[in-house]
Amino acid sequence: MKPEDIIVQRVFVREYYRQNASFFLLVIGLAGGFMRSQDHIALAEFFVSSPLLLLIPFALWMLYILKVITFNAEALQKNENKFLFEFALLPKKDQWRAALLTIFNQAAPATIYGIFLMAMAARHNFITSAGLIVLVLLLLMLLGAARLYYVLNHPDLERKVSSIKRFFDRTFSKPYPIFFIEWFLRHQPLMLIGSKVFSGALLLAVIYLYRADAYDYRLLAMGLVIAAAAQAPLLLELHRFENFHFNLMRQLPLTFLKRLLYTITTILLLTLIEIGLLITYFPAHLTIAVLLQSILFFVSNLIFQQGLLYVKDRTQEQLTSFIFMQAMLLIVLVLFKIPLLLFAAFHTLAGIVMWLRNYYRFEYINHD
Amino acid sequence: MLVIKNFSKSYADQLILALSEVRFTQGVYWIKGQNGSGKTTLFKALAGLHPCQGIIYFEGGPELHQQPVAYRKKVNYSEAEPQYPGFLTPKDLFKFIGKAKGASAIQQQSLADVFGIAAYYEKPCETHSSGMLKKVSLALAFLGTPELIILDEPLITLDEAARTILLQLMEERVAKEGVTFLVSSHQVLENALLPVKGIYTVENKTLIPE
Repeated sequence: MKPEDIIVQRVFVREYYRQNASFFLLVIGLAGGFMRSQDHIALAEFFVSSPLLLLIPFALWMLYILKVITFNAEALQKNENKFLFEFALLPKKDQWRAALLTIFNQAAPATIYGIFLMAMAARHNFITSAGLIVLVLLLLMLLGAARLYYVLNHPDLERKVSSIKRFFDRTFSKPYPIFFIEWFLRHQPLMLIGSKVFSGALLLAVIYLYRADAYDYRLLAMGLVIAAAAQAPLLLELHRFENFHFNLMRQLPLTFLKRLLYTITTILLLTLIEIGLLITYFPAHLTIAVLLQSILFFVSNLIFQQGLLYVKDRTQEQLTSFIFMQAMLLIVLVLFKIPLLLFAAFHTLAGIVMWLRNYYRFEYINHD
Repeated sequence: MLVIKNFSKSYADQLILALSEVRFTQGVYWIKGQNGSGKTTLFKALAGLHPCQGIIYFEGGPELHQQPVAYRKKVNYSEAEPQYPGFLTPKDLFKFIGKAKGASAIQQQSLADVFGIAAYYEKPCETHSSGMLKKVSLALAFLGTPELIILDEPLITLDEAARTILLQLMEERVAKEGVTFLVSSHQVLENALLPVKGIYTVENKTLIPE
């Protein structure tokens, strides 16, 4: 490998997979957890049976390549990577090779699935579908490589602000709870969508079970425990935002109540989907009181997690294992019919106490 | 007057800085020190951004650990290389921080005008140069009625005009409001432009007066 190829692999490819490890784990978890191998084969056969249906994986690959393009552009914005603009001085052939190699490696998950689809197409003699898969994958990789080549050759690209954003920036000033939501949507949109799809689908599946039998509130509570545990990466990002990306918050003369209100409002905004699903599809034979208790149980669990993050600096792995243990314990306790309100009261109180006692002593360590 | 007693700051049990007692009255103090000597760590601890040990208080006023909110109202801090979420505009920052610091809309507007931020006041920070962000950070450090303003490398990336404005503003705040400034700078602070009351060097994990 040439030196320039090694550098782009390290800066773009390795970093890409490192930063998106949780995203890929989530995808693997969803694909492996919910679908059996015969389901995967059936789905692939469904896709390749018609060029129109192939538009579904093509659209997903397009989104994936856009994610790669965005990642590469953001990586180039970092000061530490500014030296890469020297790339423009290399022979064009070497630049293209490095860009193509980068995108080829970053697009490997799409390519692997594409090969699987092609195998299915070949098995059923869908030659047009197989050809289209090859063509689309090549075109998308070429698009990604062309964009990388372009940005490497244009270090002075001006950041454009859309007229809609300009209008909103002129007319309003953002309230604090929106700061994190916008930051998260810009930096980790797939994590947000992934965790919301997961917890939303889980809650809907649990609620669906109530049609089959008259279960009591405990089944739903167990679903809520897992849905709350799935929010841990989001809460870790919120914690990171408040203590690292926007750490001037710590310097502001805000009362603890105000800080609490800001953060709880952000958490409520983040959980609108789950709360909305609970309200809309709540099992008919459970009472309104159970609905309210379920919402409090869910939100208080997140307040507890947020408080926990101030006790000690934790990496994602450390937090995940702790949350997993907590979820297992909660499921067992729920089975013992301990009232949800008791959990909600304990979680809220414990979360706030941990938060209050440790906020000013806590020091965030950047693990990147 | 800011009083610091029995101050210490450690990272993972490794002592970074220790001060037995230091007092800063109104005026400008130049804090010198080599790279990595602990200037920024000291500043961040005094600003309440990083936890530390010891007693830090304003004479007759709040103490950092006992009255964290009241203390933070009296201390403003500007980072050496400020960074803000790219989608926020200076307007968002001025409104939010201004409200927390108790700065009036007039003061916010006036500081934005003085530092020449008005032209990009409503444009997201991701479109700003490092010099523009530096001006935003410095203007934010003057919001409200602080008794202590900490400026970490305020002169870097600043153009000549903004530099003059900053020094004038500092002199004005010292004379009219009795503000204490702690300023770190690798550039020489010209006494003719800005009278420096005291010079300290961060060395051997402590603060040594010159």
